[in-house]
Amino acid sequence: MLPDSLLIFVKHTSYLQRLASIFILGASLFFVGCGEQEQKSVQLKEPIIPEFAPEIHTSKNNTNVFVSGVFGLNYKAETDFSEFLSVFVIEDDSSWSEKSFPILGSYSYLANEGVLKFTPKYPFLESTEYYVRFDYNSIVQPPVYVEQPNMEFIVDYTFIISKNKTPVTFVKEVYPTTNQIPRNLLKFYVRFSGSMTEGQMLEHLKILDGKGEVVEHAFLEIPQELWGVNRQRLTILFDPGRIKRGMDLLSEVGAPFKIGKEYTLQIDKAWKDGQQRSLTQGFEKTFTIVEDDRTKPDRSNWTISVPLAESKEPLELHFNEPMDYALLNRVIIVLDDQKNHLSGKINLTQEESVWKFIPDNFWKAGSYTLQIKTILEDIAGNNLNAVFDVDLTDEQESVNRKKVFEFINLAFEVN
Amino acid sequence: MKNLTTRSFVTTLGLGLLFLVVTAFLPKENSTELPYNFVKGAVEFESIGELSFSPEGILFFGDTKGASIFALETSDSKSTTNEGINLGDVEEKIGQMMGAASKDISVMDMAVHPSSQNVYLSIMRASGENASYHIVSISKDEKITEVDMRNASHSTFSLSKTPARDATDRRGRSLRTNTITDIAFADGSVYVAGLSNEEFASGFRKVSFPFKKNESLSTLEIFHVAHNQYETHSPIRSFAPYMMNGESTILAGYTCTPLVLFPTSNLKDGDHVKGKTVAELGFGNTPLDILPFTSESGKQVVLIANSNRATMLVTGEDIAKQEALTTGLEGDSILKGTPYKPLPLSGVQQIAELNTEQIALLRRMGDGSLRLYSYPKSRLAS
Repeated sequence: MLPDSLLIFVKHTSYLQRLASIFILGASLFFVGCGEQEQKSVQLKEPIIPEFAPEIHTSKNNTNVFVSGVFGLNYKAETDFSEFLSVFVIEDDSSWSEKSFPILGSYSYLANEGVLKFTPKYPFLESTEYYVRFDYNSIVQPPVYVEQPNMEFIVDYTFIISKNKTPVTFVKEVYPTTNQIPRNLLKFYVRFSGSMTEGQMLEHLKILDGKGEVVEHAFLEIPQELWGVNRQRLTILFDPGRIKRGMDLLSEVGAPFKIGKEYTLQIDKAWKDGQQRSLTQGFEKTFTIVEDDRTKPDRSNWTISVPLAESKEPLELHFNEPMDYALLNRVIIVLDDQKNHLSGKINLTQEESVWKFIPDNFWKAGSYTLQIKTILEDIAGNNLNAVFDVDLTDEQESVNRKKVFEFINLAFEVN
Repeated sequence: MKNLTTRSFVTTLGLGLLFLVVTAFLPKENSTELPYNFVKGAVEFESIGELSFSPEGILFFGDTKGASIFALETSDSKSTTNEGINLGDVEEKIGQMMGAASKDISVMDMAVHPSSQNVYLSIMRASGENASYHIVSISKDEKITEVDMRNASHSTFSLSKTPARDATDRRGRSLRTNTITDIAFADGSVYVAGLSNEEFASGFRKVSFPFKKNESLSTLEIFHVAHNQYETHSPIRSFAPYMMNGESTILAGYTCTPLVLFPTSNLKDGDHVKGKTVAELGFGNTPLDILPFTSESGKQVVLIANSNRATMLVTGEDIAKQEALTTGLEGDSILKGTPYKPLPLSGVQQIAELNTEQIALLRRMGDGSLRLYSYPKSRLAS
């Protein structure tokens, strides 16, 4: 069907007129068609290259560096793009120099999109300044720059990745929780609410004396810090060389603490958590130094408080002295008369001198055993086999030393 | 009919046997057995800390987080010169390659490849949740190359015995870790010193190499007696295999400061071994690295790098002469026993033998930079 207007035109004209009209229409269409063809052939002679305007930026999640607007690079399969595009680390208070090594990484060129991409071998780090330099002098097709001989063929870009650093992590507790600390204390445990960054302990944790002066070299200084597997608990060992016996003549400089004096363990809030955020607040623990503890924990001083059958009451073991917080949580287990290991929760009270076990299931009447590994220590490093440093001239100490057992078993009945 | 069946049975059997024989001799993929029970592939470690080489150039490293030790093949070529090495700003240069500022590069340990004399460093890049672990080698022409862990001939040994029915946290795991403070290869075994973050006890262990599956770990009970009076079971911080009068010994620096000597032949699983205390290195100080070496005139000497004292030089002659320490420290003396010579080298963090003429030092310089350089043995001992 022809449109109405054309039908009218066809109806009211002579045959020749109609023929001429059709000829004109055809010719017009022909020329329009030819015109398009002619335009295409012009493009072939003088191709329009998208503007070569290199611009550097990073991907949204800062994993890659892009140079966009780089169409028509003169490259081959074996071209080493690192000769043209390099990313550098800039140290504090310094700037890029020709001697700097570029960061290792891989390159890809998306010719159709005019994008050159750099992916670092290791991810870019927060709070680090990076400098990108694209030197395209010899990689660009000649027509682009031949007409502009004075142009410098370098673009560069600097970036720093920074993230929201609202602090969330804090010190939950420092063990031992008692503030009566024997002069030969062997370790502190610091528990954090989240995972932390290693390698900063000596910078952010100090012990101050009553005058506010730092107690120097109190801790065992080793390059590796003693973190728990989740980096939420740090063990701080006092220098064992300063707390062992035989240093008596040097007591002025030997032991880090003096009996009867007050000290403060201070943790500053600049200590970084695992995501490089500061702590929400600092932490202080003040304690008084008491006499050395040179005796091994004595089981004759311990008492067991036994729960009733058909209850979920805690089983309690009273040590009569603070014990090592971490070991209390690990080395004591409850066995039934078939030697099955009971599951339950451990609770420490009265400044880690009472160990409580709350079973998952109701106690059944019967015989049980509390099995305690002899590596259990008090807070001065004396374990159930021997004191921290056995005095071989002391008959009792050296006799005990030879009776090394792995466990102490304490039997009890639930009725 | 019966004959045919038998014939076809025999034929089938024959073909089958032929197939078996042929396939048995066909080269299989990965059929070439690697030495030392090594496998080729990605090295699945969790952290990298202490390093040590065997005389054949097998690199051992300790993985504290994964509670394992690894052995790794290196393919360095032999160097025949006794030239030194010199590279300043070590952390900055490694950081430039790895895309980290020098504050984010921590050198954990150093070892020298026995034939190429390339210096190997274990590196922690960044920290906290971004931490990653690497080994780089540095050649005398200052070329820094990262050891490829994606496809290496290696083997591993797990140091974690199944914890014997420990109580665990609510997620069912123990928070105990055993930090590997030093490792060394000697007499076909890898010795590993560890420091627990819970109980304070010597965790000195011995693993025979090549590693075997199911081999139990020897736990060596090393005690030392101080002043002939106090016996402690303190952990070893740093140690080195040491030959004394033709006998294989271990020279160990303890976390509670004495320098102790014990023969390796005495080290048996579970045995209570007493070491001889030959020196007190003083409180408030930790021996960072111990290096015995032979001087140009063939004398034995020991270099000790310390956390809070100058680097010390002790002669083998004095160590051999030293009676076990029997008395306490006196007066203002903080050091006792074998005499030592303090060297004007502060801030030395790592020491290793580079070649017959040079010692390699990794030293924190006055301007805060870390420098790797060599020091002629002739300047240390005649």
